[in-house]
Amino acid sequence: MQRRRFLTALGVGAWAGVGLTLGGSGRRSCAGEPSAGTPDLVAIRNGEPEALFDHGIEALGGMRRFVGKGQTVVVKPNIGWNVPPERAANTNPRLVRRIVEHCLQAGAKAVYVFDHTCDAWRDSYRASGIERAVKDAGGKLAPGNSEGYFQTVAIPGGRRLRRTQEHELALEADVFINVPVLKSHGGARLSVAMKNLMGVVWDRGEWHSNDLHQCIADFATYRKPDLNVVDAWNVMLRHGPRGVSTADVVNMRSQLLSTDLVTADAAAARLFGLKQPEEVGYIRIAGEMGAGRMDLENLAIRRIVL
Amino acid sequence: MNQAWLKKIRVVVSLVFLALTTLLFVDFDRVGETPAATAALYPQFVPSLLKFSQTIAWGAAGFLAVLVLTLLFGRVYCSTLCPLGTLQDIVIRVADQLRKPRKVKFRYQRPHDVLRYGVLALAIGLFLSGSTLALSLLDPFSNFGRIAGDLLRPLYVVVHNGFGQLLESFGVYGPFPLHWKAPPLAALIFPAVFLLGLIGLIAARGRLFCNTLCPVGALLGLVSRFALFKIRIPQDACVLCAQCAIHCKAGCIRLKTKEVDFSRCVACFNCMTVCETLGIGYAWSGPVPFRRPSPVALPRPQPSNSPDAGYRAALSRDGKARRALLRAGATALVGLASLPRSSSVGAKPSNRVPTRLANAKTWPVAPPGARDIARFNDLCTACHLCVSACPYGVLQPSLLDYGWSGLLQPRLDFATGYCSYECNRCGQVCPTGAILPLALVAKQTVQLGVAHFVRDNCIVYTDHTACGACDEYCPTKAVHMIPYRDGLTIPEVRPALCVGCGACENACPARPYRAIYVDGHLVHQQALRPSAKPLEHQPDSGFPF
Repeated sequence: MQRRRFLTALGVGAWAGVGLTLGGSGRRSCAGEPSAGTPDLVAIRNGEPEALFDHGIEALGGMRRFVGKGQTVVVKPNIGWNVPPERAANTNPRLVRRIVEHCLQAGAKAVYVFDHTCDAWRDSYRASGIERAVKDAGGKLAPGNSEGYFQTVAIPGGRRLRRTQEHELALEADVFINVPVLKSHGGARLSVAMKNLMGVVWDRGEWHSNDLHQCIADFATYRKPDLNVVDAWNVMLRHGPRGVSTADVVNMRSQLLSTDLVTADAAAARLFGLKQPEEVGYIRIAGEMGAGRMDLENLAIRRIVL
Repeated sequence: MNQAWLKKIRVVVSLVFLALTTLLFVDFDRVGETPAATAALYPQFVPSLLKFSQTIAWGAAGFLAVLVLTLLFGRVYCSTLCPLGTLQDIVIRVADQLRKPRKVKFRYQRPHDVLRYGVLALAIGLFLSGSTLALSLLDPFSNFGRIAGDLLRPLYVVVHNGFGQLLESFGVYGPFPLHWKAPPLAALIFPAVFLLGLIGLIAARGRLFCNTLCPVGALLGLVSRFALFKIRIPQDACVLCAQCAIHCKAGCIRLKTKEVDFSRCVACFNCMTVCETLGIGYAWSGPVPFRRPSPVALPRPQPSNSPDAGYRAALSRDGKARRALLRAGATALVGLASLPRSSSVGAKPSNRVPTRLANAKTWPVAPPGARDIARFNDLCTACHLCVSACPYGVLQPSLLDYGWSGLLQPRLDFATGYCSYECNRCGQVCPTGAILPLALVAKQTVQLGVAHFVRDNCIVYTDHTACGACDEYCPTKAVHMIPYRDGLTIPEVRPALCVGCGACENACPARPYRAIYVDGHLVHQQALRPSAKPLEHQPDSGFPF
């Protein structure tokens, strides 16, 4: 944002209006308010990724509840690895495509998709099938591979992570939709919604060397996506987050939707097969810090089997 | 007979070759990787010769075509196919525009036979004794590669990213930023010094490099003595207008005897376009026995008012310049050891407890397809095409990691990147065959080295917090996490599965010394393919909450 202002000041004033396309006015305001009966969590299973999302989002009040006319949307899938979709290391491209389509139908002005990938970003965008999916759906693919895209932000509630660099798209978009894939993780136990947000920051190594679980939870107190859609269609049960082969993957044909990313993670942990969500360090800490609710038994859950 | 049209063809062809080769080395998102570029690499003399020496295949016989061409028409290679030759021609042309207009652009130069054939003998001798050092430092193609790949490429990246940033300020995403992973600074000194030295030689005496230090020039010079067609001055028709001599970039036209020293002619065809009688040109020529020019033919010391005086003064100046250049090169080499090296040692630790144990690396990690380090060192001329092509920036020029004879040859630097499990590109682009092309499936079980875990440096051990960055990146799960204490997990290495890709070392956040590092193999080994045991998972139709 600072660079933009700087360039604007440099004498491209006439174009400033175009330059600030992303900084819309109705920032993070919801187009519609949830009605009384809206569930805290929608869990849905036994369908193709597109059908799961169609029914899931409807149960949550429809996409218009989240995306208003003329708003900019950021969809943040997991595109970390240079592996094909069937390996389930990245979010399913069919789901990403469907979400982008829904956003545009709801009247979004632009839908950006990006991730700060682990493997080389062009390779990962391509191999994951997400590049193709986003283009076909009419979304815009943005890179997250360059420090220049990231702005320093303060994490007021953070215990270990006090400041970090966040991608400008995630900062400036009106609506932020987090689309993780559920999978195992050698260091963090599980990778779901909160872990997926590591892809909107620049320096991940800092988190790893500075109490990973606490950093993930710290960031969750600061960055709350408007909507979390957990892709559990194909789930990598071992060798995550990258996986070795398709033998690590089980076809669960499920999806979880929630506006609360801690809730989404807690439910995903149970779906994954853990007895208690608290087994995952960052879910427990985030729950304790009040970043969201993990007490599934007290929440309104809409369960759908197609 | 007017053969001036030859120059037009020469210029067009040379520019096409230069453009294709440059694009390949600058490698902007693989735009340069075209069949045409592969074709442009085919006749590059030294790479093709090295490749042919192992494969004896027509696919690598480009140098034979060059030899045949030279036997027919002399050193056509030098001004048409050689990218460094064309680069010199461009420098000459630009310098010409910048300077005051001169009538006399070039003069006849004495041949430096001892030097040029000495360099050739040295290059061949060292190569046969198993060192490509002289070839690496003097081969025109490899030097061009280093200029384009190591110097031009970062400049291009800066311009590209600047443009991208400008567009982005208008809300347009693209062209997306390119990444240049900086090699050790000392490695950049070589192409920089070479380029400056080359420009110095050009300023003094045109294509002097090609007739003194270039081993390919010397070899083709020998061959061109037997060329069937040579450029000749027709003794009777010549009116001594001297235009040919003062436009000859190689300084090989001697007006006194109306002779062209064809062994030094780089076939630029300038003479044909300026000859007043349009007489100079190719003519049939029987094979000439090889002998040194007789002493009588050599220019002798003359009084200072002779037309040769300026040329002699320039010659001695040039000698000084060359000595200074050599000194500068030697100084740079000595200085290498003192310069900071981009090893695993990082600057600022973000972990709370700085690590203490240095990584005990015995061998550098050679690229997949190198097969063994000795073999690789014998064949690589450090053109750095693989360095440009490597999408992960892990291939970096080495300094003395392989020893002197491997100077500047690429090695895997896990501080800048790691070798992607899904990539086999270096072997596909390597023009000398030093890096053999491997099918992806085969490459995935080649073990370049083995990861070593240093528990006392690990964040999990020192800080008692979770990490697992190494395990995240490991493509084969040779590095995997095992239970530690208090619910934490800590890495363990299964060497049989390790391919030595260095993803773990690259990802490890411990500083200044990493907690996991890859030690290279002298001879690459075979890793086990990870087994794909099916999961035991009972699908259930309900929800566990």
